[in-house]
Amino acid sequence: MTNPNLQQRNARVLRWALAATAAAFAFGFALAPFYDVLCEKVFGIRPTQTASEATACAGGVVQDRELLVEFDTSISPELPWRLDAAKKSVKVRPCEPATVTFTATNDGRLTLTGRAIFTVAPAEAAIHLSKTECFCFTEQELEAGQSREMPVRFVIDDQLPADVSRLTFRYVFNPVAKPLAMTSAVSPPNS
Amino acid sequence: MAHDASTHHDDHDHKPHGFVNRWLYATNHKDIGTMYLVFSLVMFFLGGLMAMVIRGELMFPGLQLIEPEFFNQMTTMHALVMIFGAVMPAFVGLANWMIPMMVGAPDMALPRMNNWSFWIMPFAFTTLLLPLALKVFFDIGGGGPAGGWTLYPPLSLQGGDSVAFTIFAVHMMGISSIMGAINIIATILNMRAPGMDLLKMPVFVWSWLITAFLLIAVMPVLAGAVTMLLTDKFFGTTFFSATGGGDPVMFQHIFWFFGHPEVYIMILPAFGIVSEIIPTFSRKPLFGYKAMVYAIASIAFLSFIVWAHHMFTVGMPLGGELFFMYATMLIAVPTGIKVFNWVFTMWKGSMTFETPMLFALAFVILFSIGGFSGLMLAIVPADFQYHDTYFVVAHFHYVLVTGAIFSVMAAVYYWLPKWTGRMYNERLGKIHFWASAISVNVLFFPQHFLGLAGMPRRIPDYNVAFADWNLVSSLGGFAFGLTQLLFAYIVWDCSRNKSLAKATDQVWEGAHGLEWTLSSPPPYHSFTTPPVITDSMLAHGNVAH
Repeated sequence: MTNPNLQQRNARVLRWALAATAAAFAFGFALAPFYDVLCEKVFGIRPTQTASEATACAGGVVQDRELLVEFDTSISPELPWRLDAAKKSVKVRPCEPATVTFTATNDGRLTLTGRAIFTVAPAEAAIHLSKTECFCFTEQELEAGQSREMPVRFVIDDQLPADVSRLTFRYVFNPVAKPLAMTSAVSPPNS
Repeated sequence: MAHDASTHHDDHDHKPHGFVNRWLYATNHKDIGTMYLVFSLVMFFLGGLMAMVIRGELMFPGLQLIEPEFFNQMTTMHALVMIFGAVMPAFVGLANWMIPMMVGAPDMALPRMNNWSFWIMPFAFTTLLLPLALKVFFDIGGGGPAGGWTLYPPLSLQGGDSVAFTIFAVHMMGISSIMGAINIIATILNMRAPGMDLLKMPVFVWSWLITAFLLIAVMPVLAGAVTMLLTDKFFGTTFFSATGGGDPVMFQHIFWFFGHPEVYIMILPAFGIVSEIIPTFSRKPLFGYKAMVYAIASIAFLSFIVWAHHMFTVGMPLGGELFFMYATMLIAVPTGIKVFNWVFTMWKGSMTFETPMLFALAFVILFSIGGFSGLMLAIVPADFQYHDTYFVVAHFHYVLVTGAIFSVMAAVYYWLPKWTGRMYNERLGKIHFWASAISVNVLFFPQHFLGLAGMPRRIPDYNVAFADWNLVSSLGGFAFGLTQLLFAYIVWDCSRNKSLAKATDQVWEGAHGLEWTLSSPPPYHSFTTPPVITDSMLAHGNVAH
């Protein structure tokens, strides 16, 4: 095995393969920005998409169509909070503004900051929904024991596909990323 | 290729002296192959023990033996140990032992790196198993990872510190696999004896060449995905957390971009093994050798464009679901070519049914069942019903246990006489086969029924409606687990029992290929000068038999 020619060839394969490995590792990370671009360009989805103010509704409130909007809330196990909607569901008409009040309460012993993530089902309703006020737009800081009432104002436009009659709004409160500081505030989920 | 005079020993086969020199500093492909195989067998029993705990808890509805949290750790660790600890090292071990002997090379191309790729493994698995072991034996910490082997966030990030152990273990396993893959590629491309053209190579060697490329392409992607998990949990990044604009679904895409090729990493070498064994015991050359090679390459290519069939229910656009559905179904074409070619190889052959052949035949039949349930899962509207049920569990255990594991057992029985120079106890081998083949079906076939009836995966307790088939499945599981102790005994017996019959060089009457031209056991350093290859020595390609 002292054939210098063979050693050179083996070294060449090794270099080539290590370069491919590095490229594949970089590719894994490149998927992160590429993911949003791909979703938008290929499928026309923006994961965080909501309708702009300018959409539809020129004809005013649509009187002959009623939509049921249900509310679902949950809290990340890392956040000792509660989030309740004043009503479990509301009936609205397309282009009719509606307001629902949510109450967030910090049951923990420390002041904590959370941020609510909003999703709507079915997904194709997302671009027909416009929110003029929502606690999910900003971070919320609550002291220990503090409660806050927060209104959500929204309009669903008249371009909503005809087969959609029922929408679910879901809010999930997550701690604002301070992972190491969080550990003292709550008991570890494994225990 | 002459042996370097400065390293000359008195020992006639030049084995290094002493345990540390022989094993810790091992650079000999046969020794490293043996270590991989022994390591894999140990992990197989460890993962099997976890499976016994899972089936024990699921034997009856209600919670009997363990806490739900521990049950989740068992399912997670069972998968990680079996995939990365049992199946993959077993194939790498077979590659180490057989590839140099099959292509007429003196050793692997990069022997020192080979040592490193093996010796990382015990460290990786110590890291992986440490949190679980500390919890079980000393009641320290929260135990092992419990979020499933797929490590989906946000659940996987809500585990304790075991998350970091798991991630670093995955990093190490990845490094080991990549180094092993580089070595295999370099060996196959550079070290073949003159006359061993690419299209005369054994199918096992071909299957490993393609598998090695898959490993290099996707193991780094997994490393990237788990690194992102690590920084999300400990360093405040938000790749997969919606609070910072990330998306947990993106993890699933990246994971399965690794995960689907990984599935084929665990089955392509099995195709290679079966393609060696069936011609030997049919006493006919492999039917459609080139088609077999091209089919393996096509399956490898398709593996990169089907990943999202693991996640049809995440809310993909219809166009995406259709693309991944059709691409997935396309895989049935090259796989069908392989199955038909194995059947045509047997057609009108003088078949005999020694233990390796029995396992290879069971592989063809039972892997096809797993393939068919895979086709059912590929159909999007049906998948919405089957997703995350025991139907999926039954499917992937048919392809992994009766597929990958059965092929490894077939390979061990096939080459064990070559490795040890003795014939294993054929009677016990046949008992092992029939007990395994029956119990594995009692174990996994009822899980199809459970899944279709709606029993979800990864739960420690279930509706009493599922009780009967779970009991049957558990009894099959215990029987299958016990049967494997017999396998360990047969291997031990064959390597130690000097009263067993001596194996001839060719071992099997119908065997062709360079490895059968060596003595049994082969000399410690084989093919130190390249063999002069005649067509009659080769099993495959455009050669006369």
